[in-house]
Amino acid sequence: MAKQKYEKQGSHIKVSLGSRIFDAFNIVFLTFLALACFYPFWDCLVVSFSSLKGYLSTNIHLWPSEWSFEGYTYMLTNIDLWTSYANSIFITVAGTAINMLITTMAAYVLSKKNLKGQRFFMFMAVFTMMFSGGIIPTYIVIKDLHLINSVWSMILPTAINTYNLVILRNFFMDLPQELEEAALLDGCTEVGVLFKIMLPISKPALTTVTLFYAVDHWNEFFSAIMYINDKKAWPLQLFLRSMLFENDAAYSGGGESLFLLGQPMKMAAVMMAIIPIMCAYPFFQKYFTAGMTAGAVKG
Amino acid sequence: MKGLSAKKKEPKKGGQSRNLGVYIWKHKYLYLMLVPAVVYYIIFCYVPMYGVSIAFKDFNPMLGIMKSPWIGFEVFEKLFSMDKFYSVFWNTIRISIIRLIFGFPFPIIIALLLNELHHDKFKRVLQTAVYIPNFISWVVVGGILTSILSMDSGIVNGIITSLGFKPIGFLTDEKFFVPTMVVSMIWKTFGWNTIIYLAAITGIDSQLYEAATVDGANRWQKLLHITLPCIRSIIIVVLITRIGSLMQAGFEQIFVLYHPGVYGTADIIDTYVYRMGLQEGKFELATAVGLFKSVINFCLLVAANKIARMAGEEGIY
Amino acid sequence: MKKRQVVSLALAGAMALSVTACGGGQGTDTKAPAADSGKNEAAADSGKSDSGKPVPIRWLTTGDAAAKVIKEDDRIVAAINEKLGIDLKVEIVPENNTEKVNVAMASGDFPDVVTGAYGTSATQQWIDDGMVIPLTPYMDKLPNIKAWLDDYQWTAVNGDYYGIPFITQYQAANTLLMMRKDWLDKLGLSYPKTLDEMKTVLTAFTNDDPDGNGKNDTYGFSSEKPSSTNGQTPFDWVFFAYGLPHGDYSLDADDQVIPIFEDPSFIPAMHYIKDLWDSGVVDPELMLNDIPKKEEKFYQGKIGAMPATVYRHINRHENSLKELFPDGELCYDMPPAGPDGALGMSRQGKNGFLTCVTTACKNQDKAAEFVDFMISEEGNHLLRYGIEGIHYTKEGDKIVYNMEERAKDAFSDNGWAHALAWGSFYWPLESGFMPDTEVGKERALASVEVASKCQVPNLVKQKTPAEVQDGSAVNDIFIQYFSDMLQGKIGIEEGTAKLSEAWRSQGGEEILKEANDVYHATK
Repeated sequence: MAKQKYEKQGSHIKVSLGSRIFDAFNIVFLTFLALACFYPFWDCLVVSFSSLKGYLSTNIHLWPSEWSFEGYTYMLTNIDLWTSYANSIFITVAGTAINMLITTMAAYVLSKKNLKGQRFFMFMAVFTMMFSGGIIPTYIVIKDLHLINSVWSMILPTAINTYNLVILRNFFMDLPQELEEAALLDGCTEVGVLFKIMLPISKPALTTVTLFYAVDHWNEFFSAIMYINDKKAWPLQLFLRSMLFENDAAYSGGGESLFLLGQPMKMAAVMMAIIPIMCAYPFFQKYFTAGMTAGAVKG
Repeated sequence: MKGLSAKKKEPKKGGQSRNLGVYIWKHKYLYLMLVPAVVYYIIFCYVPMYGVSIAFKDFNPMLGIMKSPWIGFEVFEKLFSMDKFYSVFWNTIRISIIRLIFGFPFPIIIALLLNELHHDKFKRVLQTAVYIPNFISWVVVGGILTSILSMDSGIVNGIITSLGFKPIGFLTDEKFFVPTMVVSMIWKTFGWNTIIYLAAITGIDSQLYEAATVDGANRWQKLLHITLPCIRSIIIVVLITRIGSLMQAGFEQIFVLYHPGVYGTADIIDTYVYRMGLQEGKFELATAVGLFKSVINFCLLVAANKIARMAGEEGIY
Repeated sequence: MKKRQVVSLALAGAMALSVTACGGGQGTDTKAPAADSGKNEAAADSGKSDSGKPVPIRWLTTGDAAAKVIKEDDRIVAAINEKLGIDLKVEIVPENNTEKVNVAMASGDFPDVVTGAYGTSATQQWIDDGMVIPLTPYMDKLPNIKAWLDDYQWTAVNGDYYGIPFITQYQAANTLLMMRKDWLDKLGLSYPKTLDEMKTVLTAFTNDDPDGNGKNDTYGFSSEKPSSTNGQTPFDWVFFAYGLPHGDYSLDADDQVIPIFEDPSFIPAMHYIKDLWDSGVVDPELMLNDIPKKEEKFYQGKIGAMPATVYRHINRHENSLKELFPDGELCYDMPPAGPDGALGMSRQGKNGFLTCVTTACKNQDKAAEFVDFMISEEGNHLLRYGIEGIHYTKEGDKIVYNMEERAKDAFSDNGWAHALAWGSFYWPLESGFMPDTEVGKERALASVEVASKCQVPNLVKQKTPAEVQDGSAVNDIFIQYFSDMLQGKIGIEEGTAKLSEAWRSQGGEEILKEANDVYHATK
């Protein structure tokens, strides 16, 4: 961060005692918070590598007391897992691309405060955050569009998340106008302004919204339950849930599906679902820890 | 920096359609870019909206939603006549407000504190750690919480008893249940919520800080006079949307952890109607409850937005 | 300003309709290649086919969450198709998500045959709104349907049967009281036969260090949180021990139906339960437990007794317990008897599945035939054992599985049935089935017998319309008061009186009236 670099330079000159105490306190406090937040993940990870015995022997899992890879081998040898991985990756990538294209264009247009109809369209979008038709008419629309059983039923109905639209619009509003006006005077169209000028200087905001969209797509399972009958089109989340999260019937009943997996295996499934998307985070992260605006304005 | 320059403002001449046509033609690219979004909203949001009429109908799938007979407010009357409805309604609002008061500022504070860290790598590691719980579903986190907070073998009560106090039933005692919900909700979500503020902070022009340093401003002053004002608009946008979702008090979390012993304070509208058989095909009830919540949320959002605009902010529409 | 916005919104909405028509159409054109929705369409359209061509039958069912995927070339499906002259397409909803079935039906996306949750608003609506056809006319032609429905005469609605019901835990039960036998032995106690002995055992489990680790870290009894939807409590066995005569209702002196908490057994039973609770022999976090958590505590040696599922689960409980306690032993039996020798463990089931033929089905005769086959002896045999010569061979009377061939079709591991068998019509438990490949088969089947003996039958077999409508609301009230009385927030006598009042005024009165009518009509 440019700002911090500057402060680092400054710090050679003078650092007040108060500032140092604050830094120390800050580091301790944030580290404590980070540990507290890391714990549930660590707990799951440890359990996923534990044997049932190791899992049962304690309530606090800091290290596997008895290792086991049963959960992972059980799932990794299931061919359907890889199909569902492929489905999830496709849904996430294609879905997020569509999300970003539509949302960015709309957010940019709606950030023009003086454009006629801007407030009307914005209200139209915000209104849908509050009111929805409910599950039946939505199902009918999906059915009439012949999207039942298609992966697109997990992409198109969520083509815009209004919250993300509002956020992105707000970011565009806060951008300096000078660049844009100069480009328009140079004969650039508004489309050109958006893609050539505005997008490059909005990377932090775009990355944030991309991340939000990607995570939503990755975690989605309900629309798959509703609209996908064909197991071949199942996303990963649904595959893992249906495989592992037993229902009451399985526990209490005399059904056939009484192959109940132990907690370590369930946790292995949880890990397999979250690790891929978590690994994507650092790629996003670098865009909102490095300042972009300053350079762009200067250049 | 703020405010659109005057030159783009078109002279307003009544509502003559010719002028409007000229105006639209002049901005055709802008309007064209809006088309996909408008089409999306119409098809997937506005077309299905006739479905809210189910709340006022004796819904018969053989006739379809449109042709089902109207029954007026019968479903609502039934809903409001339930003894428990008022208690779960107030629980919803209470829990939501507590969540808002404590849960809303926390990520902002953390984002600012993270921003004060000098060491870049350390900062990234911490940031990654705090956002992780967001990825673990409440079902799993709930299981971990019951272990950590267990009366006899949990680590938290272990510390409490070793200090000589009595163990606390964080999840069993009605007095502690809601605070436990709020704290664990913050714990799980704050890291994720900092992202948006960090992105906003990153977007701040570093020249502003440089100028302030030259003027002799200290860290606190820079925070107060540069960082906060620059991310104010995003804070307000997030706040307005949070106010507009006050009727969502965290169904999934409460559903995973609550039990009859704490119904008195922790039972919310969503959990209650879920138990009333929402999943078993009571579509009229589901729609009515949804509509009731929507109307309240909508009023709150419009009011919040109005206040924000009166205070000179842009608001969310 | 606001008004104008609303008007313009309405206009936009009107515009929307015209835009959708073309927008939607275009959307599909471009996306059609990716979607394989074409197949669906074709299946729905070709119902007119004359004899000769197979009749397409689409069956939407919640089935069983962990059913194996049925592949295109599944030989069991092929065998059914050939036998009945149909082209069967099965859609098993993930996670037993009945909501999906309900939504599809409510949205007019009708399959030919549908399995939904019996005893819910959804299936009741299917019947009331004419979405499914009566099967009564087929009873003469289709003997299996007739035989089945003759066993379930009480499911008729105005004299007609609208579907094949399968009520879970109706003919068999699988819950018993499970204890640590090694603890009992160590303490010199035996499995309790009476409530007094039970209290002694639980107290000893709690206070006398049954695991010998020198710490006071055990509890006598635990269970899972009470269910607000069906009104079951973790202490139902106490109610039955004190003489509650039926699983669902009771009768007063005038032979009128009353709720269970107005039965004279209720107050003394509550005092017994409260006494256990107050003396600290019950897991204080009982209210928090779900089933896995409860079992986990048992396996961790934290509790000595719990109501537990038996049947196939015995092996699972035993193996899990031995993970940490290789010398651990468990025992299970009927729950202790009350002062007058009465006892009971679980309530008879009222919920389950209902398989119907839809009104929209183009060839309802074939659909009914399919259902008939699925519940026939022959169908049952096919789904469990497969095709002779392929999936199994006979050596005299003994059936020998060919595991390799079974794995190629959608059969489950360890000799369990084909994916089609699961959930919709029967569970192996109710029909006393268990493949020979399962370890401890005899023990498992014997346990079901014992469990079924201490299952308490219902007074009224069916859920009346009022009970479907408001049953969960009044059960919720009952559970709330039960929990408050247990935790001492309200006295037992006072709580029971208030419970009666609230329960009756919030829909209970209507439920009692209907139950009373049914009871007196069928007596």
